[in-house]
Order: sequence, then structure tokens, then C-alpha cells
Amino acid sequence: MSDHRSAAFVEAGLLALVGAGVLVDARGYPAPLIEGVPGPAFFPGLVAALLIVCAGVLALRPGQATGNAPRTAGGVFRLLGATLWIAGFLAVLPLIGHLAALPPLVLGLMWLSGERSPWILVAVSLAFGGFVHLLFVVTLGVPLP
Amino acid sequence: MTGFAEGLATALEPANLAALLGGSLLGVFAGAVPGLSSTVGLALVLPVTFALEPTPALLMMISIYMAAEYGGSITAIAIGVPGSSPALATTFDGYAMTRRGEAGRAFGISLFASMSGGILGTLLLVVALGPLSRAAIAFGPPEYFGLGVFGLAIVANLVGRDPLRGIISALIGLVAFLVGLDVLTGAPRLTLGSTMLMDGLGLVPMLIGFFAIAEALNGLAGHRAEVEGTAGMRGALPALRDLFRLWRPVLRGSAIGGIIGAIPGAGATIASIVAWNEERRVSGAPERFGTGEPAGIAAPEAANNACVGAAMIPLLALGIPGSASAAVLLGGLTVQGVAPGPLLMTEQASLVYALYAGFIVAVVFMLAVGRLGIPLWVRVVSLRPQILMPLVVAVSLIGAFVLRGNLADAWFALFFGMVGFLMLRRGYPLAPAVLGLILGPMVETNYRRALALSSGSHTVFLESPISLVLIGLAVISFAAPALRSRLRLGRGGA
Repeated sequence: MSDHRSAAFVEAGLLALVGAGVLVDARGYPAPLIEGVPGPAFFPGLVAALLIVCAGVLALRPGQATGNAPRTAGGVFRLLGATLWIAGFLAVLPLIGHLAALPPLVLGLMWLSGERSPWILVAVSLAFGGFVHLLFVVTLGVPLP
Repeated sequence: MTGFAEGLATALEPANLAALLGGSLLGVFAGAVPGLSSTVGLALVLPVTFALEPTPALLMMISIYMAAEYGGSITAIAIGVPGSSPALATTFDGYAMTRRGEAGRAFGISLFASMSGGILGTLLLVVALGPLSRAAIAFGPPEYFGLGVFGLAIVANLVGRDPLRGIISALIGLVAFLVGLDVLTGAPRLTLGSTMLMDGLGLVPMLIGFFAIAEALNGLAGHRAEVEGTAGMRGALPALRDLFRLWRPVLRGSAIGGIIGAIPGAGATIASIVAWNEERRVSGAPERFGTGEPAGIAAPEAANNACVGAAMIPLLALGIPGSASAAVLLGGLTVQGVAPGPLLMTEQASLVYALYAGFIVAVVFMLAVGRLGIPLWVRVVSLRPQILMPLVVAVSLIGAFVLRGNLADAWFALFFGMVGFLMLRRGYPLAPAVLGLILGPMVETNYRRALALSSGSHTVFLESPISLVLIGLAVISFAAPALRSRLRLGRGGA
């Protein structure tokens, strides 16, 4: 089986799983308030059924070359690194506050994007943290964590 | 006419001019920052207006509303991230022009179309306040259902090269909208028992996730299309004749924005997507849309700015806010002791005329701020991606938090970023999913409401002429791309 076919099977399986999950969840919704009028389960059921049908068509149709995998191991590292770095920022934001959390977020993402000049990394990330604080908190009065 | 002249004189008083200018600056900013919007900009300034007289307070608010609709196009064109949801359709052609090195031209077209749409929407407000407000309240559940189905049919024109993946993308958007409490019964759906998911996933986290974070992740994985070159500012701005050639898309977009904007709850996002789709439909070269077609910027930008004046029609005539921003404006009016409704024009005519004139002056300020800002936006575009994208991601995450003051929205944005990245990798267009999330509530809620009113009879959708026409248009819109390609194949084979 070609890479495209197996990728399409995995993709269709995931979509069918989402559809099945919606169908299972919809079984627990309350009955319609008025007889003959669709209740809260009708639309989720319809969307889930369509998703499963589409997943089936996707799995069965002839394989089509589509999309791109990360080109290099470096690409995968940068991708996972950025996702985890953003998640880490969101996790520590309520604990240490935006002034301390924003510069490392920007610095890390810039480094992962390929910026290597220490001056630019430090200056841009610090300036950005200060700019956000001045604009949102001081000027607009928006409370940030 | 005397009333309007007096209104203009009032709007041109120094304090009112200052309020209009301040509103324009804040509006462009609120529109341009992903996550903020005209609604957030208005909410931010609401406490400030308490200290002002009614006229400058309300002029500042309408100026924010008008400028924010334009501001949304700045990031849409510069980096492909719509500053607010009404600018979604602008990303299709605006960002494509930027990638071609025509950012200045795209900004100029957006500004010209926004200005024209703003003026035409205001004229509509002046002329049609009475009749359109009566027509707008004729929209009931069957008509809203028809409008929602018509909007969803636009998916057929957004699917790209693979229609199946486009439809699946729209279904993913519909699944995302299902998360939260059912509007009609209050039953939790797909919340997995979490209170965090009760409020739903939200449009703004999806926009930020799909267009800011997913694109950044795509860039890190080595797939982002880079800007081909940043043309010099002087040469890059559109020529006047280039702009005047767009009068038809601008007029059509303004008309669509004027009509949809006057319908309470329909909103500028739907208007701009419908305008983009209609422009593509009537164009002799629909295949150019999505690849950097100027009319694909002009129509939606005219539509979303025309919506501003149109949304004031049900607000001023009936006290019904036509959009979330109009609802905040209603709050501002109430705080200032102004009671919108049928008696407003007789009891506070001078204020209404000042608002009419204020809209025109607000458009002029928007034009000035926008024109002066274009060199800055172009400089932003020319920043190196390794500096620009991290800043976009960071400010987008802050914007996602600011909208509801809820960190969960920033987590949702990250989630949508990962989903969006996977979808991009597998060749799924992202716009249909956004359309699904926007239109899902309108379609489902009004379908069930209409059936409840008709005791379960589906003939309710055929009895209303508006609903019938909209559903008919939806069928045509959905079938048109397939029919067009069949015709082309037929001709090619002959």
C-alpha cells in the first residue's frame, strides 16, 4: 500500500472516529421538547453521519497525492518545540504574569524560526513584552494575567 | 437637508472632531489586532464615554465601529490573519496579492472599498431608515434558515481543488460549533463534562488558531509560502484608474452589505463572504478569485463597511441591535439617555443628524488614518518571517485572552492551531470550517425554531418567499461550480 493510501486511511479513520464520538455523545441528549420537532440530538446526528459518509468516500476513492509532511527532522523538532513552547507559555502565564512570560515566548519562537542574533532575540522580545504592557494594561486599561 | 447641514456643523465642532479622530485610531487598532474587534474596541471605550457629552461619546463610538471594519483587513492582507471575522473573505485575495509583492496595492484597494462602502452604507441609513427597518423585522426563523443555508452553500466555491476535503472541512467547523450548550434547550453537547467547554469553542480562537498559529507552525515545518518581494511604496499603491475600475464590485459589495447588515443578527462576516462569493459568481474569470484578484478585496471590504451604517437602521428605528457591536452601541446610547425607537427621529432629531454626519466624517478620518498607515503596514509585511510570525502568534494569544478575559480561549486557539496545521498538511482548505462555525448556529437554531412554529411542517420554508428565494440561491450556488466545470469539459471535448 502506498504512503498516500495509508495516510488517507488514517485520516478517514480519525474523521470516522470523530463522527462516531459525536453520535455516541448525542445519544445522551434530552428528547425533543415538542413532538415532531427536532431536538438537540438531531443536528449533531446529521453532521456526524455526513462526516462518517465523507470519511468512507475518502478511504475508498483512489489515492490522491496531497499535503506535505515536514521535510526534515529539523522541521519536526521546530514544530513540536513551538507547540510545546506555546503550551508552556499558556501554563505559566497565570503564575508569573504577562511581563515575565511574554519575552521568553517570543524569544523561543524567534529562535525556533531561525533567528540567531542574540541582540535581536533579546531586544525584540523585551521590547515586545513592554509594548504589550504599555498598550493593553497602561493605555487601554485591559487587565492581563 | 437643513437638518443634515446642522448635523455636519455639530460633527465638525472641535470636541466632536477629536472624538471622531480618537475613535478612528482606536478602531483601526482594534480591527487590526487578531482577537480584538469593533465590539471589543467599543466595550473598551464605553467607560470613557460616561464622562463625555452624548454627542462626542456617540461619535467616538461610531468612529471606532467604522474604522475597525477597515482595520480587520490590515492583518488579513499583511500576514493572512483576519484581524476580525468580517475580514475573513479579504484574506483569500488580499494575502495572495501580498505574496505576489503587491501589498501596497492591496491595502489601497481595501481602503478605497472600505471608504466607499462606509459612505454608501451611511447613505442607505439616511434614505432607508424607515422602510428597511420594517423589512428587517420581517425576517423570522424560516428566512434566517434560508440565509444560513445560502451562506453554507458558499462552501462549494471555497473548496479548492478537492471538493470532498472542502466539505469535510465545513463539517469539522459544524462539529466545533456543536460544542457547548444547546441554545434552545440548554443541554450540554460535546462538553465531555467540562465546564470550560460550556461556553463553546468560539469563533475568535478558531480564527487565531487557523490563520495565525497554524500558519506559523506550517512555516516552522518548512511549508509557508514566502512573500515574493516587497514592492516600493510609491509604485505599489494602486493608481486612481485602478480603483475606479473596481466601482462595480464596490457597488455590489455595498448593496449586499447594506441589505445583510440591516438584518439583525446576520452581520458583517456573512455579508463579506456573500459579497466575495457573488463577485466570483458574476466574474468572467472565477478561477482568478483566491489568487490575488482585486475585486476579491473590493467587494468584501465594501460590504463589511456598508454593514456599519446598515446595522444602525434597526438599532435607531426599532432599538434592535443588528450586531454585537451595535449592541454595545445600544449600551452607549442608553447610558447617554438616548432611547432608540420610532420616536427618536422626532424627539432627538439633532442628535440623529449629527450621527449621520458623524459617519461621513468618520469615513474621512478612517481614510486619513488608513492612508497614512499604509507605509507602516507595508513595513510590517517586509519584516523577516522569523521575527514577524512569533510576534503575530504572541499578540494573537493575548488577543484571544482579552476578548472574554478567559485564558481558556488562548488554549482553544492553540488547539485550533494544531488542528489547522494538520488540515493544511493534508490539503484541507480552512475557510469552509470557519464558515461552518459561523453559520452552524444560524442554520440549526432557526431550522428547529421554524419547525416548532409550524408544528413540524417543512412547508414553512416554502411558504415564505424570502426563504424560498434564499434556498433556491443556495442550490444554484452549490451546484454552479460543478455545472461550470461540466460545461467547460463539454466544450473541451467537443
